[in-house]
Amino acid sequence: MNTERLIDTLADTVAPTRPLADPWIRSTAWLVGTLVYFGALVLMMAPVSEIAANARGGLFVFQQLAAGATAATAAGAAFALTVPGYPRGLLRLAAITAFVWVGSLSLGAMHEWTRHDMNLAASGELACVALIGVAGAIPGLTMARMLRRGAPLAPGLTTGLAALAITVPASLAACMARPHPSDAVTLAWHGTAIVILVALAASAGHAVLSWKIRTARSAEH
Amino acid sequence: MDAPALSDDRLQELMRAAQQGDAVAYRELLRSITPRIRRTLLRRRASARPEDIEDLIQDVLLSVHAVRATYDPRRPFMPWLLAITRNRLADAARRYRRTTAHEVLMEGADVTFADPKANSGQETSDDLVALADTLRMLPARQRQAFQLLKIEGLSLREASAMTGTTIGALKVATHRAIAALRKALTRNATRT
Repeated sequence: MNTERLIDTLADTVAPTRPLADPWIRSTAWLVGTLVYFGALVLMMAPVSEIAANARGGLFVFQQLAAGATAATAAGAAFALTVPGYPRGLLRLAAITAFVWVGSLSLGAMHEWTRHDMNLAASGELACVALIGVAGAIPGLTMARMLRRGAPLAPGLTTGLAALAITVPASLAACMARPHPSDAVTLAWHGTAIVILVALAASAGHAVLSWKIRTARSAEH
Repeated sequence: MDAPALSDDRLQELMRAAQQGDAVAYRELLRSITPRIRRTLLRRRASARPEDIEDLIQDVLLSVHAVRATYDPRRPFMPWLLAITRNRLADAARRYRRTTAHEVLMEGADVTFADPKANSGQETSDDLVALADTLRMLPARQRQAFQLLKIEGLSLREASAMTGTTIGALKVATHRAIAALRKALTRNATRT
């Protein structure tokens, strides 16, 4: 088909379309839903008094805040990556918050090590890994649906960030729901699970988001 | 002919209208951005063949159409379009690298078979020269019939309409041209 004919075909079949909301609005909407979902899961898994007891001091609170910020910026960056020409500053912000979060966990682990208080007994950590991997499926599918409405500019990076945005609040939920013996255990088990899931999601990026899928979907509508 | 270059404000307006389903505005927008896309592609792929550039332009237009909902009417249009163009260009380059990585260039590979008749190489170019010479020496009517039917791939009816010759006469002329070419090739093979 020549280009002139293609232009005529596209113009003749153009249908009204609602512009997508700003990536921040979309990511906030998704994040609120995800936090409500994980909050409900935590409440189902542990009574409120136990949840409060699991909050072990200032560093723990800081770690959870850093985890929340990582999830928020990673989600924002994933949505921003699907908008052509949108500033990429969020990507740097996501990297910084993730660095702060991992740094705060590492700091806790180092304190434990210098105090000779490092407890590496991983009792019940598999339950946390399962929570991170399985419970994230619902917000993951929701996010995949939302991302597919955008442009697949960097599929691997987008799905990797999306996985980070899902697994970090899942890890946060796991930390709130049951006591963790040490930050070293959290870092090792949760960290490994998150890294593996992010890598898997990034490698599946082209299967989830691609121009082929996107143009085929637009031809259907 | 290229559409006149429109300002970014005008492109923004047209895209806003296109998002509301305005086909006229959308056609004007696509016509106006096509030369810009072509220029961008030519700047970045100066050595690409014209048909590859046209394929890429169509890829970009289809992508623009597919993700037109991602355009925020409050933001400038050109950065949005350029981001899509650059992305599709990068995709095409990756595709090209993937394809060529599995291709083996056979040109220049010397192959010698036991049977001299099976050897090709210099003979091929000699054959082509002999063919071209014979084609030049054919009577005009035979040459024209061969060219239209066998080289340009026209149907007998089309060639007949174009030349004003009957279908029967075209068939005869083509048959004679083929016979002459075959004879020239045989001559060439026995000489080498």
